[in-house]
Formats: sequence, C-alpha cells, structure tokens
Amino acid sequence: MRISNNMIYSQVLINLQKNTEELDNLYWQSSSLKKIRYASDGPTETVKQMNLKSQQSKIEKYLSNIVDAEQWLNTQDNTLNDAVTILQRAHTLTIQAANDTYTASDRKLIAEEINQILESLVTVANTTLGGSFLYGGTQNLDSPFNEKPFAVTRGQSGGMVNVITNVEYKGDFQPIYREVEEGIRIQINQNGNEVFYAAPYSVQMPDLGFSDASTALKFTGFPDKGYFSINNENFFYNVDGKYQSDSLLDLKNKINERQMNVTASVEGTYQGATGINGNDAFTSSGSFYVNGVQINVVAGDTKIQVINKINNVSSQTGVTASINSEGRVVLSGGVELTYSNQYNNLLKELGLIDTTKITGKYSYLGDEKTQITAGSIFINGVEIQVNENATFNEIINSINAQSGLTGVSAVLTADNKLQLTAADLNGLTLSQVNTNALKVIGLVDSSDRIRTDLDTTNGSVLSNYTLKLTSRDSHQFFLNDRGSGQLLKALNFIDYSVNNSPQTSPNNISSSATVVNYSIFQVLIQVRDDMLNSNSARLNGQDLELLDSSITNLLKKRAEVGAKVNRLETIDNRLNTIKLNNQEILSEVSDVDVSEIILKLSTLENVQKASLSIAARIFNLSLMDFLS
Amino acid sequence: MPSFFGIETARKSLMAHQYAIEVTGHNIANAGNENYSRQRVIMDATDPMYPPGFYNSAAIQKIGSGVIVSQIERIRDAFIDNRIIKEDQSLGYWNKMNELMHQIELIYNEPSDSSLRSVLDSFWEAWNDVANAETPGEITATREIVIQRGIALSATVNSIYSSFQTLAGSGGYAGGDNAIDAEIKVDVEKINSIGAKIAALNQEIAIADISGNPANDLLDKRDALVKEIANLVDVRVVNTDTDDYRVIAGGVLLVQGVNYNEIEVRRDEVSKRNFIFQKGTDIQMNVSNGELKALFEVRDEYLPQHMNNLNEFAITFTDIFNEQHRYGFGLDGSTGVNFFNPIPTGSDSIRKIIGTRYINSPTEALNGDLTTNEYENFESLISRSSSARVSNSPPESAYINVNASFATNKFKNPLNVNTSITIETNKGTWTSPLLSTYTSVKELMEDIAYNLEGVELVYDRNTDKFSIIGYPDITYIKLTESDANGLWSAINIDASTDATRINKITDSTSIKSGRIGINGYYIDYNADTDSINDVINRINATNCGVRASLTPEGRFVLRATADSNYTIRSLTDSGTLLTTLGVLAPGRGYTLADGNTYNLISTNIEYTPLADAAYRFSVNEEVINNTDKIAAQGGVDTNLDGILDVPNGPADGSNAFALASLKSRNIMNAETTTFNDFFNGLISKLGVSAQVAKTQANNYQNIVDNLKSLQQSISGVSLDEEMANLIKYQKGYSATGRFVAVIQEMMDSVLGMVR
Repeated sequence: MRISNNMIYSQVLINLQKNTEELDNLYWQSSSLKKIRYASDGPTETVKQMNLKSQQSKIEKYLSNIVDAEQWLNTQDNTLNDAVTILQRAHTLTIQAANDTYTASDRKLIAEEINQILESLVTVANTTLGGSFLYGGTQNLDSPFNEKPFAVTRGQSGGMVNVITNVEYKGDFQPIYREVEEGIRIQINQNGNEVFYAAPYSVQMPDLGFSDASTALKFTGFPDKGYFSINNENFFYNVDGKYQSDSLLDLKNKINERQMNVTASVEGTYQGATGINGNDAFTSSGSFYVNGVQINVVAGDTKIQVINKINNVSSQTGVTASINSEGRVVLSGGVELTYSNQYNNLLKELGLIDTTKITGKYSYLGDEKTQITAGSIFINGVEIQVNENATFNEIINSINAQSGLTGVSAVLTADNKLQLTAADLNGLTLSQVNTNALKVIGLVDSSDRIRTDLDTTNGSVLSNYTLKLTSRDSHQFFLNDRGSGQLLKALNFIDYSVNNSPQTSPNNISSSATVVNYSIFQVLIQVRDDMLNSNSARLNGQDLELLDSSITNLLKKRAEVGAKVNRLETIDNRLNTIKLNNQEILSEVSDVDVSEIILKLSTLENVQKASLSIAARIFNLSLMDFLS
Repeated sequence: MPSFFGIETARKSLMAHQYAIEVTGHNIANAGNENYSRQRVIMDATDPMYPPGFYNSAAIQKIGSGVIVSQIERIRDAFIDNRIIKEDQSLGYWNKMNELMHQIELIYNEPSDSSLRSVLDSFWEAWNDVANAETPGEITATREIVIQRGIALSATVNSIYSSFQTLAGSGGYAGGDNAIDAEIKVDVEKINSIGAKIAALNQEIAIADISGNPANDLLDKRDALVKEIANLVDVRVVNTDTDDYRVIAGGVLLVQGVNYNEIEVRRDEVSKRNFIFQKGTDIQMNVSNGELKALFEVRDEYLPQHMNNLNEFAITFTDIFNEQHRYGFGLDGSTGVNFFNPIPTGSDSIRKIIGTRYINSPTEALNGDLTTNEYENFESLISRSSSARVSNSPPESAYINVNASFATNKFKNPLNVNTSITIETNKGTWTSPLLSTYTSVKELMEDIAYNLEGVELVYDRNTDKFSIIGYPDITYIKLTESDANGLWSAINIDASTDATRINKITDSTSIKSGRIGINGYYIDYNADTDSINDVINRINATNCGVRASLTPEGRFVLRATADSNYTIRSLTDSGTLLTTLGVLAPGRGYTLADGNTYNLISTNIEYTPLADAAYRFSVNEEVINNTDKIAAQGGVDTNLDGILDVPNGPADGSNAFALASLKSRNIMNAETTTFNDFFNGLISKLGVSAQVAKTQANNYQNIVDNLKSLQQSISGVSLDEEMANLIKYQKGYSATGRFVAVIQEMMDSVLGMVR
C-alpha cells in the first residue's frame, strides 16, 4: 500500500490520543480508587452498585435499630429484675407477718415497709428511658398533658395517711416496634397492662334479670346493632330481637371464636324441676344437645352417668351439671338444650325441661312482616304452608287450623314470641321445606335442631344469666363500644362517664360490674391493708398466692425479654455477615485493584513513551535528508 | 527535416518539466492539507512531425516531436469518497449521541453518593427514624430531618427535571429555545453557509470547466464542504453531469448546480420545538442521520422518556405517599394532611376515582353467604359505606319490581306512547317530555338517570322485566303520568300505588355480577365467587393504563397511569359492583367523550395533573412550617367508618413505619417495581444506551479513520515520492538543457562550415 505522509501523522496522532485517553482513565481510577465513573462505564455494575448501596444503607439501619431495641430490652430486663427483687422482699415479709406469733402492732410495722415497696414498685413501673416511659404503650411521654402509665390515688388506710389506695393504668396496649430485618418487626416494649399483673383479670356484668341465656336479647333505649371491641378486636352485634339477633350465648360464642387472649363465659345457674334419683337408669336410648354438643344416652345409663357425660364436655359447652341435696339437677353456666330432629323425654327425665311448650328465640309483633320465605313447615308430619314475609299471627292461625291433626297449637307470648304448646311434646317432629320459617321464629337453631324450654314452672333460675369476660393470662384488657354500638354500656360492662368526667378504657368499667383486678399494685395494697387490719388468714392464704403469681408473671415477662434479646443477637450476627459479604461484593464491583491499575499504568506509560519516540524517529525520516 | 526541429522539441520538454516541477511543488506545498488530493502530471509524447503517409520516408515518420503536458490529474477514489461521506454521517450521529448521553449521565449523577437514589434512600431512612422516635428530643429532631430529606428529594427531582427541560424541554416555563433546539439552529446555519459555498464553488468549477482547465483544487474544496455537511445530516451527492451537481440533505435538495435552496428552523408552537424546513416551503427536512438526527432523537425520544419517567415518579410518589400520610396522625392530632403538595391539575380529564365505601375483607367473595359467621363481615362491609344501599337502620329503599312482558328488542325501539310521565321522590320531582319524542326506551332510561338523583329505570334482559329502583336515600317513589293508559300501564307498572317500598329489597345486600369497562377494556366479575382482590388483579392484568388498588383505609381506587396519559376516559359497569363501592353514582357509566361527569361522585375525583409534574413536586408548606403535622402515629377507628379517629400515643410510629415501608412496596410499572428499582431501571437503561453510543462512536471513528487513511493512501502527498519526482523532473529539465546545448553545438558546427 502506498503510504502518504498525512497517513503517518494522523495514525500516530490517533494512537497517541487513544493512549492518552486510556491513561486519563487509569489516572482517574488510581486516584479515586473507583472502577466506574459514569453509568456507561458498566451499566450492570452501576445498577449492582446502586442496589448494594441501598441494601447496605438498609442493613445499617437495621443494625442501629437492633442496638436501639437491645437498649430498650436491657432496660426492661433491669427494671423487671428490680421489681422481682422488691417483690421477693414483700413475699418474705408477708410470710413473717402471716406468722401467728406476730402481733397487730408488729404487722403495722411491716405494713410500713410493704408501703415503701409499693411506692418503689410504682416508680419502677413508671421507669423512663430517655424521657420515654417503658411500660405505657405508645402513651409514653411525661408531660403535663400525659399522665404516667401508672397513676396513683392517695388516701388513708388503717391509720396511715397519704398512702397509695389505688393504681390505675393510663397507658394503652399499642405495641412499639423496631424493624430489624426486611419485613420483620420486633415488639420492643411490654405494656404495663400485661407486666404488672398477678392474676387473670375479669369483668362480669351485673345481674340484669336475664333468666334465659339462649333467647335473643332486646334493649330499649339502645341501638339494635353496632360494634363493641375487646382490645383491638371488633365484634358486630345485633340485639333487635329479630331473626339472627344475638343471645348471651351467641355473644359468648362470637368472642370465643376469635381465640383471643380474652374468653367469655355465661354465668348463671338453673335448678331442675323435680328431685331425681341419680341411680335410676334411662329406659330408652337417644340423644340431646347441650350448647350444640351432642350427649348420647344409652338405655341403662344411670342419671349420674349422663350428668357425668355432660360434665365431660363442659370445656366445650361451658356448662356443668350436678345433683343437689334435694335431688334436683343444677346446671351452672348459660345453657341451651336442643334435640336433633325429634323431641324426646330424656331431658324431661332429668327434670330439666317443660315438655308442654317450646318458645321461639326471636320476637315480632303479631302483624309485623318477617324475613320468612315462602314454603312449608311440617309439624308432626302435617304440612302447614307459610307465605313470604308471613306475620306471626298468620302463622299461628295456620298452625292452629291444623292443631286437630298435629296436636300442637300456637300462641303469641307476652313478649311477642311464637310459642308451640301441646299436652306433651314428646315425639314431636319439626321440619321445613323451601322456607326458613322455623329459624326466623327461632323454634329451631341455625343447625335446625329443635329448641326446648327450661322448666321454669317447677324448676327455677337460681341466679340469672350474665356474661363474664376473663383474660387467659394475667393482663388487663380494654373494653369499648364502637361505631354506633352501645352494647357494653347496655349490658353495664362499661360507663362512658362518671360524674361528667369521661372514662377511658381500661378504667371505664361500670361500677355495677364485678371486676377481679389483681394488678401487682392492688396485691400490695391488699397485703398492706391486711397487715394493718391484722388479717392473718388472708395474708397466709390468698395474699401469698398472689405475691407468688406476681413474681411468676414478672419472671415470665423477663424471660420473654431475654428470648427477644437472644433473637436480636442472632439477627445481628446474620446481618453483620450479610453486611460484610455485601461490602466485599461492592468492593469487587466498584473498587479498583490497585496493583492491577499500577501495572496497567506503567505498561501504558512505556507504550506511550515508545510510541512517542518512534513517532519522533519516523517524522524525522525523509528522503530530503539524504539529498545533498 | 527542419533544422530547428530539435530546439522545438527541447522547448516542449523544458516547459513540460517545468510544469511538472511546479505541480510537484504544489503537491509538496499541500503536504499538510488533509483535503488535498495529490496531482500528477500526465505527459504525452507529441505527434510526430510528419504524419504517416506515402509521401514521407519511413525514417522521417519515426521522429517524434517531443512531449506535452496533456493533463494534470487529480488522484482521487470517488468510491472511498462516497463511503467517507456515508460513514461521516453515522460518526456525526454517534459522536453527538455520545456527548448528549454523557450529559444525561452527568445530570443523574450515578453512581455517586449525591444522586437521586441516595437522596431517596436517606429519605426512607429518615422516616424509619421518625417511626423509631420515642423521646421528645428524638421526636422533634427526626421530624426536622425528615422534612429536610423530603425537601432534598423534591429539590433533586426538580433539578434533574429542569436540567432535562433546559436540555430538551418545551421551554414552557423557561421560555426560549432549549439547548438542543439552539444547537439545531446553529447546525442549520452551518448547513446554510456550507451550501452557499458549494453553490458558489459550482459556479467557479463550471467556469473552469468551460475554459478547459480542470479545477482540481476547487473540487477538493467542494468535497471537503460536502463532508462537513455529512457530519451534520444525512447527505447524498448526485453528480451525473458536471453541470448538474446536486446535494440532497435529509431529503431536501440543498444545492442544484449554482443554486442554493436555503433551509430554516421553524418553531412548532404546539410542541414549542424547532423543526427544519426548506425556506419558504412546507417541505420538512427528514433527518435520518448525522449530528442532527442525534439531536432530534434525544430531544424527541430519549429525554421525553426520562422526563415522563420522572413525571410518573412524581405523580405516583405524591399520590401514594400522601394517601398513607393522610391516614395517620400528627403530634397535634391532625390527620388528613398531605406531606407533598398535590401536583396541580389542569384539565377536565380524570386521573383517579376513589370509591366511597370502605372494604373490610378484600379477600372474601363480594357476596358472601349470609350464614351467621359471615353475616358479621358482611354487615360491616355494608355499614361502612356512606352510599350503601342498606344502612344500619333502617334498610329502607324503594324498589318496584314489575313483571313486564316486553320483547327484548323494545329496549332499543321508540316509545309510541303519547304521555309524559312524572316521577316524584323525596329527593325531587321530574316530568318527562312526551315519550313519543324519545327514539328509544334507552334514551328515556338515560334521561331519568340524569335528571333524578337516586332513581333508575332498569331493564333486565334475562328476566325481561322493567324495574324502577330507588337508591339508599330514596324513601318513596310516586309515579304519575298525563295519560292514564300510557307508559306505566304499557310496561305494567302500577302507577296508582305510592311506591313506598312495595317490596323491600330482600336481596339488596347482594351485588349483581357484571362487566366493568375501563378505557375500552372489559373485565367480567362474578359477585358470588370473586373477591375485591380478584377484581383488582383482573383489572391490573389488562394493562389498560388504569390501575386498581385499595387505599390504606380500604377504599377502592382507580388510578390512570402514564400509559393512558393519566386519563380515565371511560368507566362502565353492567353489574352493581362499582355503584356499591361508591365509585360510580347510580346511573349510566361514565365516559369522558360525553363530557358528562354526572355519574361520578365529584368529591372522589382527582383530575389529571399538569405537565411537568416532576417540576412541581414539592413538600407541603403546612408540614414544613409545623412539623407536628407529620403523621407518624397510627390510631384507632372507633366509629368503624374506615377512617382512624383516635390517635395512638406519641411513641407510636406505625404510620411513619408504613410510610417507610413504601420503599419496598411494588408500586411503579404496574405494581411490579419499587421506587428505588424504578430508578435503577432508568439508570441501567441509560447506562446501556450511553455505553452503546460510546462504543459506536469509537467504532465509527475507527472506520472513518481507516477510510481516511485509505483515501490518504491514494490521494495523500508523499514527500519522498514528490522528492523523487522532483529529482526526476529536474534531471529531465537539465538533460533537456544539455540537449539544447548539443543542438547549439551542432548549429555552431554547421554555421562554422560556412565560415
């Protein structure tokens, strides 16, 4: 190829330019120690770097969250330890004071110390970390507007003045979290309503005269439907007395279905009609249901055996049975007795039910339209047609028109329920086709089982039925009416205000409700007062037990704290490993290998030098130089 | 043979050699001129003195008469020239591209620590700190920081966006040309001046040609000028005839012979951007290569894409972030406060529609079985709605269900009834014109829905029934008409009854299955089996440019995305889901084409934001001025309407945490990408484009260099060669001199003989 001078010049220049460019890049790399200056230097590496950096910053955040969380937990650990030490002292003192050799004045002296213990425990419970209360939930700031988590009322007791007479929890049950890993949050606080408790907390509504636990509730002056809440679980209720409205047992089931930390029970006792002989045997086989749980009776079973069968399932039904001195069967707990499809005499033989009538669960005015759909009901096999939205009066007329055939007649009770009556209902069958009439009336339950009436003529409700809420473990819960609902108020569980000052949960319990509230403070107040009053029996019994369980609960909470700290340490280790790995990858992606760069640099420098000197030589070379 | 014949031969030779030496000198003088093509002297032997013929002796015929310079040849390979012109265009394109991409890279400033990504990271971190703050000191400090980080984030987005604006924006708010448009103008000026020069050169070349002197140097100049244009725009030279030299650039005839057609830049007032036209005509230059192509491409494709992405980010970020922020509580108990200023809206088109109803259980079937267990959930779904058909008490709605034996096609037929109907409800009264004026029953239906709030005449194809439906607040409907045997009797509605709940809606709680239409896409749903989440997923699977989701408090929301230009053009529902959710008011569907928004609930609409959303992205001053308004706390919904009423305590950071968690929620790109990844995607795309531009620019540089080398190899001056030539010609000249001397001696001898 022909080579012209320009070619040589430009070629040399281009190459030198390239070298210089490369040199510039290498100089930049060696001075910044970074591989990539612009995204175009390596799009993949750039994005990788960006991701890694974001991830690193997240991990840093998690790590600092962990440190923070550990600080919280360690402080809790310390305070709980203090609390346990203090309580152990109280325990020792109580054992002493319970000793009969102590005189009343000795006990008063010890009471002074217990009082001190109470004071210091309140201080411990109101511990702050950096100005923030440990045990107040999210209500954690000590300011004129915010009370301490545990607010004390002072007064006098047994001659001592200005002593704590009541301690109320003013915090909430909201958790405080730290995010310690992607999507993983650890609750770092323990709320005062869980920590400083000695025994399960319970609230029972007062006796409002409910003699039947299974009939639909109806209130005047309160909304028919709405919500109430236990802690942060919301419950819908309906107490309009009509189809699908709730009875006490329904409310209990609704609450227990959620499997939360609070259980509901229906309290109350019923005493059967006649005395029975427990050793009498049943002559026929059959079954009945207690609160939906089937009890099978085999001919030959004695009545005692059947009662035992009822007691065997009491954890499911909430009902226990016994025979009292008069030989009557006593059922404690809200109860609904049903038959699967045919009425039999088994319950009658136990003296429990009235076999001359069944009363519907729901109430409608005689000419009020119902939600009944058209179809037929069958009473003892006789078809009785019902129209859509039939009124109770229409149905009663239709049933009575057939009473010659069925042997059953119907009436509307004073409280607007439909009642079937007969000389003896034994053997009665009830069914429905295409219609929901029996359900809407409430003669059968939601599983189409025939309801029965407790015999209240001969038997009696010894104590009326009430609803009771109990915490599973030792903690206080929060009750509120929600939305337009006012059920808890209607049932007298809570009050909205006392003397015009609004009540907030958990301190909104109605004064007429029965509360068992053993906060550790309450326990100490009781211990102190028992000492002041020289109540050695209780000191020796309940007081010691409560102190024991107080300590147990605190130790349990402390163990939880320890477990969390362990968990945090594991996460901390793992995150640190990831962080190191990321750092390594990041450095691989973004950092230069210095020795490599230097090697490259010196190679390139040599190349540059060589090309320059060669260029100098070539440029010098010309035919002219050889012409004379 | 004449005596002075030799002298004459020598004269020619001397002249020829002198000529050759001069050309060589010229070559040497232009050794450094890149555009110069070396010239070569072509010497031809002149004709013999006597042409061959019968009357001359053979010897005489053989005597040559010397040499003549027949031509000075310009050594040039036209093929390589053309290739260089072609590759120069691509080189110009990629060089410019490389330069512009690099500028964009610098604007994003990745992977440095002061980029948008790192600002975003620290914004999330600050929220996490707010969530973790418990003590008064921490609470104040973290709030201050979060505000500053928010401002930094918005400022970074603003500044990146305005950098793009300066580079390629419409200049809407800045006015004047953007940087690229200005550069286009400069390029056009360049082309004009080069074109004019080429035309002028053509004139000179033509004259030179006429005078028979090949204008070698002028041709070189012209080639160089064409190359300059090639750098700017795709150019083609047609040179079939020396007189007709045409330069066509971007499809526009620039130069034809001695004529030059000027081009000019015109500003399109709609897009506020410059385009190139032939002066005085409507012929637009269609740039397909060269620097100009890069400028147009970056201005019209690359940057708008980046700007759209930033706008999308700003709109979505503001929207989603505010939704969550409004949900929480500030230290002062305030709620419903925006953290970022909502992007101002400017048009009538609708971007977002929010349902009024709150949904408790998005995973349950729309119509659950009314068994005892689900009754509760169901009731709560109903009671939470402000426009529910059934409220807690009493579930009163007027609903007339009539058996009407109407042939199905009557729905579309005119009504030949001479009556005007009056519908009276507790909400108002409306009297229709004579029904015979309607062209179809359908029109009447629409008129009723439009004129009467909460009342609809509906026709059910399946049962062939007409019904008049009253929605929640309607407690009674009364139907009358001017002709007693008119419409109502025709469709079998008993107008004599005051329709106060002739039939209570026993199935009022159930939602009718149907088909939702959004922007021309259709989604079927079955109310008995599908849950809200199913419907949402199905809508999102269509990619109809409208995304469905639930707000933090559980309301159904439809959001138009960048794909649909942030516009929900139409929304219909053949069932009752959207009305039940409070998205549509009862009545017909909504279409933008109608220009009617009567079927939407005006308080639940957000309009399409103004252009340049990223520029308007900013933190709400209310929050800046009072950091107590930062909604870090969650709360409790005591009245169960879906909105939190009572704040948790000051240590609660649950809402701040929810805000911080938005960082890892898939929100962008049809809910597949987090905000961070969205940016990473932008950067990696940009990085790849920039890398390609860089490599391509290099490649083309190499190609052009090689071609130039090749050209130089042919046309370039080699000094050695010229030296050799110089010596050759010099020696030739000297030898000729010698020859003259010999002849002179010979002449002397001859003349001496006479003496």
